[in-house]
Amino acid sequence: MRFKARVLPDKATLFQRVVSTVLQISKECVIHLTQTKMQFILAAEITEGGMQVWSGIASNCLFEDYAIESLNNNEIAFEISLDHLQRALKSGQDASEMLFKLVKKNGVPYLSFVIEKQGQQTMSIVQDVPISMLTQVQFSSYIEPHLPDPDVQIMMPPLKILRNVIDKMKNVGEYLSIWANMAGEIRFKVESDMVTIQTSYRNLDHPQIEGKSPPRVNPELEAEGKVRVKQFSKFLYSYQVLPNNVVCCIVEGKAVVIHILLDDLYMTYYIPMVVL
Amino acid sequence: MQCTIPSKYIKLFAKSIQCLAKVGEDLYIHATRKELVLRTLNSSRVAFFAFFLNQKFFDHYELDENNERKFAVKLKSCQAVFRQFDTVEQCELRLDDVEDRFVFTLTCKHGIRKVYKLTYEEVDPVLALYNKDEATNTMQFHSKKMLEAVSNFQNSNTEISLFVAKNAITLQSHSEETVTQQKTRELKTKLTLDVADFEGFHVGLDTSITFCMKEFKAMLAFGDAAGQPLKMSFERGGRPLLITTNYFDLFSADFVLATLIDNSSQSGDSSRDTDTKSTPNSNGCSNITPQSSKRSSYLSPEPTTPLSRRELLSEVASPSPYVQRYSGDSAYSSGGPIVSSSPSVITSGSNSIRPDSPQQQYHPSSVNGTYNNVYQGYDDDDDEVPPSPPPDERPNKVQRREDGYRSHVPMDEEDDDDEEVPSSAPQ
Repeated sequence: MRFKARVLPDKATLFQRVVSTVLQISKECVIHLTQTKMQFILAAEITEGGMQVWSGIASNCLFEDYAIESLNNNEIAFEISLDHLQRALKSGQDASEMLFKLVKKNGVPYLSFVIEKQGQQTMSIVQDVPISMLTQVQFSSYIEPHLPDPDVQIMMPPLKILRNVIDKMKNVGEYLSIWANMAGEIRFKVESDMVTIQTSYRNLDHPQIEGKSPPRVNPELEAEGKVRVKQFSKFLYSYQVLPNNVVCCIVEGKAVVIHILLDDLYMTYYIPMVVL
Repeated sequence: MQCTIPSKYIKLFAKSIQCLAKVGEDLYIHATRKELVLRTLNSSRVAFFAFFLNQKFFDHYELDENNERKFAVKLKSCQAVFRQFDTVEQCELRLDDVEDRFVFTLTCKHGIRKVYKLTYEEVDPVLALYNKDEATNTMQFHSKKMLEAVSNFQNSNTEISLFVAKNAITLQSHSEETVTQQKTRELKTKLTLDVADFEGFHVGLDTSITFCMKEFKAMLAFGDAAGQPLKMSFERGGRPLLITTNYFDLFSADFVLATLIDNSSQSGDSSRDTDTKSTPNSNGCSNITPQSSKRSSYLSPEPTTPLSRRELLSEVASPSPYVQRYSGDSAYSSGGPIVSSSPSVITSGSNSIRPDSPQQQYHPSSVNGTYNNVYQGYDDDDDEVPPSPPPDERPNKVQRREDGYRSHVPMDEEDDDDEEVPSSAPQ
């Protein structure tokens, strides 16, 4: 089993941001490397309350000299502690060169980052992030949730603004009610004994699915669901990634799925709905 | 005792207090005729910081009847005084014998005056034995560079290793390798620095030393504020790491950090005992060779009889579970006789004492175990060993150690039962 890659100098920041976004949800994460992409998986067992994050990025977007080799169809999966990874990537900021590879030291597998820094001070840093390998069998238990087609799909308002709104709502109640229709409207509501706060957005777009003609959707179609505010607000950390598109899909009675898209990067958040 | 700090040095003074506060709990102040010395020792006794402020540092420096004063205050309180110092224009420190308080008077902008009155205890300062000239490896550096390097290490790493060779310097994170070889899920960091960045780089022998990161960082933070280069000197694992800096001739600072013993050297059975007193002959002491004959030369400038040392050992029992290993004493009691204050006294070993890792006990469990501890010494003036009271009877009592030395709390006013006062002049 072999793996090595070099991080593109101008993409180091993006890599760091993706890691820190996922880190907000949970420290422990599964990374799955294939020949074409790198996936970050936070599955239900790990996160509290069953929120899941499935994120992937094309390997040629972040890395060059990417070489992977394994008995399992050239795929490698392992568990890693994201705070260690973040620390290692932070060392690589402003580095002239950063490459990483899979190594085994004293029988313990590590993801070893070798970083060269020039400039004010020449330093060479080696950061060994401990990992635990996952066998094919173990990894096969990680399956992306399959949900029925969403009832409503709508583009979210700018995340920065939404973040402030939801932050204030966090203190008011435990559950956030999301309502949206196919006419470009979305509403967020939180309630408590004393007060109800509702924020509505209008004139939002709806995503066009590639390849299909714009669906003749009934603009009256609407969907609603309740999610835990804390979980919902965690997805908002993804604003750091500076996504191009953020799509919110509501599958009534099941979950709210949010897709964050940026060129070759996708991050999907599955937030389970609470049925009260 | 009274002195005033001018506004241009307030920041430096505040930074030194903040640095000391990160290390220890108690601030030992020693006001002599020519300088004011601030010292602290960390609770696990692996770091000793001392700041020497020359009389010239102050606007006004005065001792009542030219009497030296030695006392201790709590660092947390001092830290509170200097939490925000940018508006402070002048700072006056004064020992008020009438009210029995150590008073900080800060004159700030806009006519604001802040007065802080701290309780203090008259007690001898804790001292460390170290020798500036003995080191085989020396180098000089600026804290900014080292801070940048050290920032790559995770904060959870308690210790850091420094390795030097003729033309290489490496910093490495140190993890405690347990005998059972369990997976260490810690980030391992290794950093190689350019020798050219260090002036006065002189390596006698390829060495590797390991010391506490937190105190090292505290020292670097101070060095950054002082803006002067730091001189580092050390020998090998087990011997103390000494870092010094000075601000012209006004202010100098010594930072002594204990280092872990090199596991490869020394005898095989590292001491795993936790009870110092019961194993007087364990050979797991830090740098000291197993032969007992050599011990005394390391420990004190004047060898005292083993008997006297043992007596002192039992006297300085400590209630703290951590400190029991070194049969050391609590912060206030000066315990054994204090070394004379010249810093060029023969070095003694330094131990990195890690209470939570029994495997790595470099503890001073030899007969003179306690005194293997850097931070105890022998006072030239002591010519009589004080009678040793039963260990459990003197937790935190301030003792009268020397003649003519007034204790802050006169012993006869104490309510407690334990009254023993070895006040006679030691022989």
